[in-house]
Amino acid sequence: MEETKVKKNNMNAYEKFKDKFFNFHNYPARRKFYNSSWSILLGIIIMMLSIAIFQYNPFEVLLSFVENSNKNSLFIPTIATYIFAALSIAICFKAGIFNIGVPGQMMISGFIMLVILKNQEVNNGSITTENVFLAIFVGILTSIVCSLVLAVLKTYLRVNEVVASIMLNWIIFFIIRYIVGINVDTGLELSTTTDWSLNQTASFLTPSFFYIDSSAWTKSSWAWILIIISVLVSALLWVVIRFTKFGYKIKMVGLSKTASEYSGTNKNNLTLITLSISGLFSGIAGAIWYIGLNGQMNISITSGPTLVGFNAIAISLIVFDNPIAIILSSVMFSIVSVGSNNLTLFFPLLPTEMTDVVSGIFIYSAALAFLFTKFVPFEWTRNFIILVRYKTYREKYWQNYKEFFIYHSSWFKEKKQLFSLWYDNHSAWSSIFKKYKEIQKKEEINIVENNTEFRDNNKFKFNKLSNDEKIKYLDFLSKLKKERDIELAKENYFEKDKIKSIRIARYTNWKHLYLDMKTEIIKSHLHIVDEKLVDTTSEISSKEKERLDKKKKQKGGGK
Amino acid sequence: MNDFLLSLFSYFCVLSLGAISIIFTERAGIINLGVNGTMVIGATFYMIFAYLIAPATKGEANEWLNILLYIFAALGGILFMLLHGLISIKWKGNQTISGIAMNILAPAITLILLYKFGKSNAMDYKVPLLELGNSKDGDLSSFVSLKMFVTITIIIVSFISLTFTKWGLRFRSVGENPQAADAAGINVNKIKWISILISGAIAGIAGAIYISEFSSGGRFRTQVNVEGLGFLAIAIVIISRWKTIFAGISSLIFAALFAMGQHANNLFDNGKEIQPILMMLPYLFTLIVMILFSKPSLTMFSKLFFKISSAILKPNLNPKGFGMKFSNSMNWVSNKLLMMSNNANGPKAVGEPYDKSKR
Repeated sequence: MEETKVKKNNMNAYEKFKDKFFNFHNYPARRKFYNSSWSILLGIIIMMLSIAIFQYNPFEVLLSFVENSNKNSLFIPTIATYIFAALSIAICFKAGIFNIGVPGQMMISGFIMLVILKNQEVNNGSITTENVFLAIFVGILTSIVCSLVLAVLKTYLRVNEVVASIMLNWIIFFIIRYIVGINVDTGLELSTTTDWSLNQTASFLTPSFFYIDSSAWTKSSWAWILIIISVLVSALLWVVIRFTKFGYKIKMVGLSKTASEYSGTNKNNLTLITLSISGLFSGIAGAIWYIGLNGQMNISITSGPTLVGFNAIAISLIVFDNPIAIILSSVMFSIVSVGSNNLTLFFPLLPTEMTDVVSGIFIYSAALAFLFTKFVPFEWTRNFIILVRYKTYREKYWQNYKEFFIYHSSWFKEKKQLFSLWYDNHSAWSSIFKKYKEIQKKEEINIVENNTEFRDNNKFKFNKLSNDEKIKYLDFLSKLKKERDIELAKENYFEKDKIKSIRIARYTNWKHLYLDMKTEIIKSHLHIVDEKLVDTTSEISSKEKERLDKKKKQKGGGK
Repeated sequence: MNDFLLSLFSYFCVLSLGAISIIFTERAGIINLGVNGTMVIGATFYMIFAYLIAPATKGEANEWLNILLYIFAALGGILFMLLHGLISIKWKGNQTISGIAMNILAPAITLILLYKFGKSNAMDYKVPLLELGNSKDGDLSSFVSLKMFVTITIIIVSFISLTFTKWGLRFRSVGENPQAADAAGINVNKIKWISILISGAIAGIAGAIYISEFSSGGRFRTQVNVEGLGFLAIAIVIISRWKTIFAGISSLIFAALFAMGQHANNLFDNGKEIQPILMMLPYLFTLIVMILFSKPSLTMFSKLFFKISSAILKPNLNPKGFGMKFSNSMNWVSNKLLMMSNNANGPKAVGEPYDKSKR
């Protein structure tokens, strides 16, 4: 153990990186990295297929995603919102809590901020920066309270948190809709007939301060500050989870509840703390999304809780809730979501709901991410190449291959023989079949002429016969068939190649015939045939015996 | 009022079928949060096949076509649930995540299917409903319809098969303790696959009922999400403690609440203002009922009832006749509540992929 520690301390940065991702010993981190990359690849492939359904070149569309998102001013703030929303989900997933309440918390924090700012504008005529910070503070507090409600439901009442959080989302959505609907005349505007919306454009949101100019978004300071803050927060969370006692407790609860309780963590307290932290993050995400980006909240009758929160679930799932990797995945998702906003301008046949399709496909591939642990195509090929290089493996491999064919050779041979038999004799057989059919027809004509029931129609029908006649007819048929078979066997079969025919008769439908004729016809040939059969089997067995002897000798020599 | 009652009944059909489809999977030890998505897929299959068969009928669709379309919807539900089966049974993944993902994947699939088969993003085709009266005129005789027979037969058959037959006992044993069931000679994975197939078919039929009743003028839009009825079905299952008859009863209550929100304008004077609150009620109701029926609160209630009964039995009160009976009944209630609190969390092995090595 000490030697390995010394080795690890002496490694330089490149070696450490190599050890992390390409070494056999450090399994989980490397595996997770590959899993998430495989799942992203799968998602992209399915997405391209779904684009190809609409008859466009998928590569072209994907490139336009990147171009559009670069041009769009909303690109960088969306990255920040996605990072915060995903972090709030990731910390819960680490602790084993499936918190889907993020959309609701984002909505309520944004709603309260907008209401406060609107009130200020109506009463005082203008909004100061102090008001904005107060509004953000209150909004974040409400989102924390909302997530604490969920925490209380989970810890002290043991309600299933998935269902409870979905219900809370809908309750928050309908409360907001009710408040907006009441205050249509007084404070909050009703923009269209179907959509109630809170239109809020404060002085805080002018292009100079917060809003980002589309022509020069690189110069705008606020977007970059937001990005830096979000990256710093995610790094801090990574440090907390990785190196502190608190983070270790969170991970432990997520891995095994019973073990963590046994080792002395207070589970109830821990869930309260983690959910309040996630409420804080989702409140910040709501602030960026509703005040920083849009400046308004659209609530229509058909809509539900925001899709941003649901996308965040995919973002955190696809990278196994790793806070640092969340940055990369949120960049990818924001490329997809922002880039696909105005797709219909460039590709008119594409539907407007393509963003929903893409996010749906990605979230499903994210759910599949953990399934790729056993999917190791590169390792399979590498292992095969390494094994083929060794002579012993190669010999064994080819020997098995040979053994397989020797074992199944009898089956193959018989199929071959049957085919060749049919190929040689089918013309002769068909003449015999014709002959016997004519005999059958003559008999039927006889019956028709003698019987009174067939006078109207000359066609023979089996059902019109009486019972005795039926039995007679069936007897006649069976005798005829036996005769036919015997003739077939006699003329074309046995005289040409006796051994072959009997072997075939043993394995196929001719078996009964073989048994019947055993006493009558084949008596003269039988002893020859059986001897030869024995000989053929003994040949194979003798070969095997020789091989086995050789093996034994080799083993004995080795010893 | 008649409209309200009719929509109540159709919501009842959808909710109860969704709840039963969840019960079948959870009895076999699989968490099923993707019912909403499965219902959406069933609805799309119903509408797409209606649209494809339309040219063959030359515009005059027979009402008996509904039976065939229900079968197609069930097939669609089965196909979609097989994804969940693959993840939960074959690959032993996380069932909660796959359920959430299915809910988001289903509208995406419908969108692609609609663009492929329909006009741009919608379909304009309506199959007439198979019922006695005309439900658009508000005849109450249209209760007697195909959906009624389908739901009632499914509820009764599932109740009998799960509680009274050998097959149902095996089903429940797989949900409670799959290792013991395997040791007793039951093929655990086979029963899980059967549960997946059954639940997919039932959820598909539920989606078909929803779309045939509530598609406005036979128009089927892309962003149909079944109004989140699948999530309500999950809540119904938890409230009714994984029992089919209770699921039927509680889905009636939920359907009443949901229909009240939809028909607020007709029922109340200031309907348009209150409508969001009324639409919120079923969700709030589920939360409250889940709190009341959770394990800690049930134990608290049982203690309370026990205290009442013991207070009456104190010697100085001298209970005779009615007092004795009352205290006994209180004791019985407290015992029942304790029994209920022990079964509050449903089948014990739910959510755990079956591991043979733990046997």
